[in-house]
Amino acid sequence: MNPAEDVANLVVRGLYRDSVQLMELMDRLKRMKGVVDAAVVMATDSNREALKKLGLLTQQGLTAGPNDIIVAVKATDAASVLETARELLLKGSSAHRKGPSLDEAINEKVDFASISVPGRYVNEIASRLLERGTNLFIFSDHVPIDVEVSLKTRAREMGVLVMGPEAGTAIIGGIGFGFANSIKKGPVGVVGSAGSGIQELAVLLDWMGIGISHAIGVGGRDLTKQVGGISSIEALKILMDDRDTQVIAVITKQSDEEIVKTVLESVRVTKPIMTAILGSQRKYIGQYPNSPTLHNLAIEICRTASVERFKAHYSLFLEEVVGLKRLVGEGLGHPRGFYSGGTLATETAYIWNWLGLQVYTNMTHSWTKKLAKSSHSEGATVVDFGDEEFTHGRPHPIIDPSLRNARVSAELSLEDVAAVVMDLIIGYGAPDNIVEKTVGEVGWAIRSHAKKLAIHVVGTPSDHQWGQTGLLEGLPIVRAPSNALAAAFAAAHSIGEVDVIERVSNSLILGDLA
Amino acid sequence: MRVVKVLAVGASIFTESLKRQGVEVIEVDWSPPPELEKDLEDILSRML
Repeated sequence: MNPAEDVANLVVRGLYRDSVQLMELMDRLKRMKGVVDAAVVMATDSNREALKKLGLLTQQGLTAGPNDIIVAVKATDAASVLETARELLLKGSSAHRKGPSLDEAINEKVDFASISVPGRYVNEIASRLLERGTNLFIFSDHVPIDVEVSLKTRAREMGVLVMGPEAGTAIIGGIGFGFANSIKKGPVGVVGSAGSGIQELAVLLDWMGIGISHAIGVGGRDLTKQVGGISSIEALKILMDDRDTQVIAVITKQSDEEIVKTVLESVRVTKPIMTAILGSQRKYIGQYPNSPTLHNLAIEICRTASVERFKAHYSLFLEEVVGLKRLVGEGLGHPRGFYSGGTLATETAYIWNWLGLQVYTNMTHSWTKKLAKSSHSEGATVVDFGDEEFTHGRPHPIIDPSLRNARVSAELSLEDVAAVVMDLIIGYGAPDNIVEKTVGEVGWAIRSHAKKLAIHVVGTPSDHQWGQTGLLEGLPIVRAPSNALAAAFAAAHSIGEVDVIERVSNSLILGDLA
Repeated sequence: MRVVKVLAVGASIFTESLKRQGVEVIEVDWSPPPELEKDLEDILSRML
């Protein structure tokens, strides 16, 4: 350490800030003159341990408890940085306390409640709101499964909708909850236990000119045996009765196919249903067609909803495929995929596996191999950075993609890597500067190494960060219109065979249409 | 289903997103309840 640099901690007692607010302050401190490193965390045991490993914990920090905030800096003038941090935290404090308490707000008549507090506190808040007949969107994870079953059972009795826990995305009448995009309104209803899968489908349909009535995210565990699809059944009933909904899509990942089948059998079906159970080889779930990719599901829905729009998209699709094929070279190395959206990571792993590659991943699938360490790639590797091991005490990678972006940069410099594929999820819930931040973090690496980086932007021209995506044009990257095509491109370049894109397009995207 | 008014508890980024979409948001001032064990420790440390 430079002798002029000093490590110092500030403890602010009894003050709570969510992980996004802490990250924003940390980013601001890191940009200050003379700051080498900075961290701002709630002082839980695991966060204090993390600071210790980074060499950022002092005796002062050791006195902090889980309801306190530690600001830790390594800087040439640590004292003045900490003073600035204190001012910013306390300034935010007075603004933060303008809202009513839950006791004061509980009797307000609202359409929905959005809950994103740490999982252990969800039960009390959600139960109180449920008893008032409030529909719930619960983003939080780490909620005990028996609490989820109990909340959903009670909601069913009361005729109230519970989305989540672990609901990443919902779009209700055009309004996005959690991570969502600005999407046209239209005839497609969606039920999904897979957040980034719902976003990808909605974005692809929007591109095709087809809108969404409601996309109901039921939570990552709703379609498991323990929960039994309680919210999925209620969501399907809502969409069957909804006048604006004409066709229904069901999207899941890593879920029990039999539960999906049971759920679909338990609802009186009056509208066409199509599914995408990512990772499943089945062509049908019960009597309903099952798509191998989200792009295929979007195309099938488009074809059902509007023949005119389908014809227009089909021409555009063929042009995109030709464009991608021109960019394929003889990369001859491994493809790697690093994702903020877990469903998109699953889709890429599935496509590479279908192409005959042995896929290593931190996700659990019967058809992939588990990475010994998520931080060390092997062969064709796909890593989901939304997994718990990367999000403990940190914001979700859609909010803070720094770890993922650093991995992309590092892998682009490796000799045995030919191509990297990644998602860039914009829209509601993603920071305003998400594109600028990502370009800043991977830009140098992609300019410095002769490797291919395929990026799929999960967003629409109506998203508030869309204008920034022009920054991507200044980079030597390959921008693909869907995750499936981005994954196909990375594999084609790695294997050095242009025809790979054609094979994926014909079999996994166009399907019977090819 | 329509969304005009939402009660939001938790992450500020989601509250701001709802407001950006023109939703009327009641933003609850929430922080975790004090840790019971820590409270006891604090009381004991003051007594001893």
